[in-house]
Amino acid sequence: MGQVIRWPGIGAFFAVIALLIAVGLLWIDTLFENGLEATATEIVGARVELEAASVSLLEQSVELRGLAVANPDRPMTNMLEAERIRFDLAFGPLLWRRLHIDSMVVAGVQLNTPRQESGALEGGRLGERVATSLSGLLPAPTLPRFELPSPAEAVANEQLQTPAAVEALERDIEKKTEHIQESIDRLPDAEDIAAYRERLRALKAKDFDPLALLAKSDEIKSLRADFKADIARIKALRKEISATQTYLRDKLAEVKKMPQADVERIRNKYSLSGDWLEGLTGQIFGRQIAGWVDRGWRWFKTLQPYLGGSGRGGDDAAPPPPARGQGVAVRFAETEPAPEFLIKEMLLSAGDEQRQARVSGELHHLNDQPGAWPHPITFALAGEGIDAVPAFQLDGRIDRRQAVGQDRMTLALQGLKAENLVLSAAPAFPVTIDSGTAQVGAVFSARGREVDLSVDIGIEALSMPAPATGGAEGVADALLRAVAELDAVNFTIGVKGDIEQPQISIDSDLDRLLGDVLKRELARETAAFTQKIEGEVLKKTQGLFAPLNERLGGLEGMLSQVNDKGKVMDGLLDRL
Amino acid sequence: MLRLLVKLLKVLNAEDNPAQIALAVCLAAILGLTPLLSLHNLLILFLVLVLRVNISAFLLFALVFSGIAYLLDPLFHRLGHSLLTAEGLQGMWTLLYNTAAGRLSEFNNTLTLGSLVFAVALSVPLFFAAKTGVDRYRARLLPWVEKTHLVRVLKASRFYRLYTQTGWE
Repeated sequence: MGQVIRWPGIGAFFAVIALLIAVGLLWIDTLFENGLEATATEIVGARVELEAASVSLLEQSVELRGLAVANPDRPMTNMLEAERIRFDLAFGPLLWRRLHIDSMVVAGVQLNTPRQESGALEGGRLGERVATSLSGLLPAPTLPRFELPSPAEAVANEQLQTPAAVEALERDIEKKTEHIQESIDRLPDAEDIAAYRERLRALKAKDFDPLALLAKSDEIKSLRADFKADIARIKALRKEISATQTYLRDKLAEVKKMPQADVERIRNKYSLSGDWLEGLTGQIFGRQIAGWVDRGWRWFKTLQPYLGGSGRGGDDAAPPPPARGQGVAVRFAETEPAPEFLIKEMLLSAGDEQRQARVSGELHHLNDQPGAWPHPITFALAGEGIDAVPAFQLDGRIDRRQAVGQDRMTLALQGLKAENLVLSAAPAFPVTIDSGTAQVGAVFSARGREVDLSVDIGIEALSMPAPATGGAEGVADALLRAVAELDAVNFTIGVKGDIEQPQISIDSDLDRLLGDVLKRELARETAAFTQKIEGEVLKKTQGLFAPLNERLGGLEGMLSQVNDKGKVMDGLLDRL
Repeated sequence: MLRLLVKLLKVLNAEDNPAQIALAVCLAAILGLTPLLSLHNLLILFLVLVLRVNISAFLLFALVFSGIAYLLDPLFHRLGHSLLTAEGLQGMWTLLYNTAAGRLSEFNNTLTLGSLVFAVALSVPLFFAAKTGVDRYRARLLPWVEKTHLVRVLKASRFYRLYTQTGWE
């Protein structure tokens, strides 16, 4: 036995264990501090620092002092500072590698405090932030442009309808004139009338032969019938000519309107339809406005994996391969399910008596395995008297206990100071709100992957710089001047659909103002353009109508001819 | 490092039982290939100290296997994952998962289980291979090594004096 067992080794083993425990106890504060800083930094994407951590194994409690969480978007600012955080650890769950905290107290909370050193991480996570931002989903802002060609070019490129209409009317007049001429030709001509007169004279000759008188009586009847037939044809033709004249005059009147129709058509071709007036605010300021809610959106997406459950619904994608030296924890059914990480209650408070500023909040049932805990995560935070945000309320419920998570959050900010708020950063169209007071109301809900966010922002007591003289031209200048006169503005940002590719809508009462300005500008530009087009069209069509008038005048001559023939025939009939 | 090299030479050239060296190599494989801060490594530490194994060999080979472990990470992960998701083993894993010891051992981590199973399985052939290796070294290579210029220089140096004066085993 002595050859196999090294009896002093047992003592050495316990000595080593004791040494490890002693070293652990000596360094536990530092180990805890470093571990917490590293983990939180990874989650936040910016430096998270602690002044000190104190772990008491006897009391099973932890106290953290001087927590500073840098803002990933503004590395020289801490988005959160806490003077003191204290919590008790439940010992039993630790044996199961579970960190359960019954109660945590966070005191001395401050928001948006300046930092001495940058809190940005080396290499940064900017790309990640852009990829998960809402503003990145919107197209680049565009200012409506009215680009009109030269009037001569516009008319030259257009197939005018007036010449074709004139040509068609000419053909019509010709056809109808020919037809009438043919009808006139079929009426009694000079020869026929001479024959009638001869027949009439023969009838008037004195003759006492009874047989001859009987024959004359028949001739009179025949001649009267011929006269009446011709007179009827003459009357019908006269009516036809009159009708044709009316018809062609109407046609001519229509054709004479064609140049104006050509002008209208060309103008409409280069005019913008009313559709583009929809959602003007989104087109022009969309990216910047969506950027206002980006931070909250990114936070939600960043925290998604840590809130447990799928929270997404649908099929989960295959897990990515683990980092080197880490592996993946596979979970099995538990007889007594419990989350690995749990804070049953967190109370948060901060205050500044001098400035009467106060922040208080509570969070319940924060855990990483909602399926293993019977309660959803709930939170409520309220504050007042803070410089930048005089009053705010945030509350929410994150329920991931089922396969498809259901989350709901509401946020209200009152009296938020809006300073140097950029609406448009485009060099040709810079718009910044110098100062104003904003009221913000946001309602967020999510069911699985489907999200629905609505943020109402009202900014009052606006102060906006007047545009520099000659700083912008045309539309941009008109818009800048209109925007600079605003004293209040409201925006509604809507985000709906799949969390990765949501549809973003931005509505604002600014739409109407921008629309009116643009309509005015457009009307001014269009009026000048139309006038020039009219001139160009007139040049091309002015000589087309004179021949038509002449040809229509020809019908008048035909009518005189027919009338003359009618008079002659009427005279002959009277003499009969 | 120099001291460790001295230890190695001393271990290999000492008259220790080759089985003791081989067992140290096996235990080093388990400690080196698996995550250091694992519950089972307490048992390994206990065995190393209580059993008459060569501690220098153990320390040296623990370092060597730690380096190898880094290269074999993906293999361990796959092996662990396939074992933890194997249908026939679900009952056993579930039972173990519902014990405090099971949780503390982190057996449900793919890397921990995969590397442990691999190291334990490797330790059996490794024991015999290491034992044979030490035997052959002593029989064939030791006389040649002692005659080499390097060893003669070393023997004449302070390093060798350190070597002859130092010894844990």
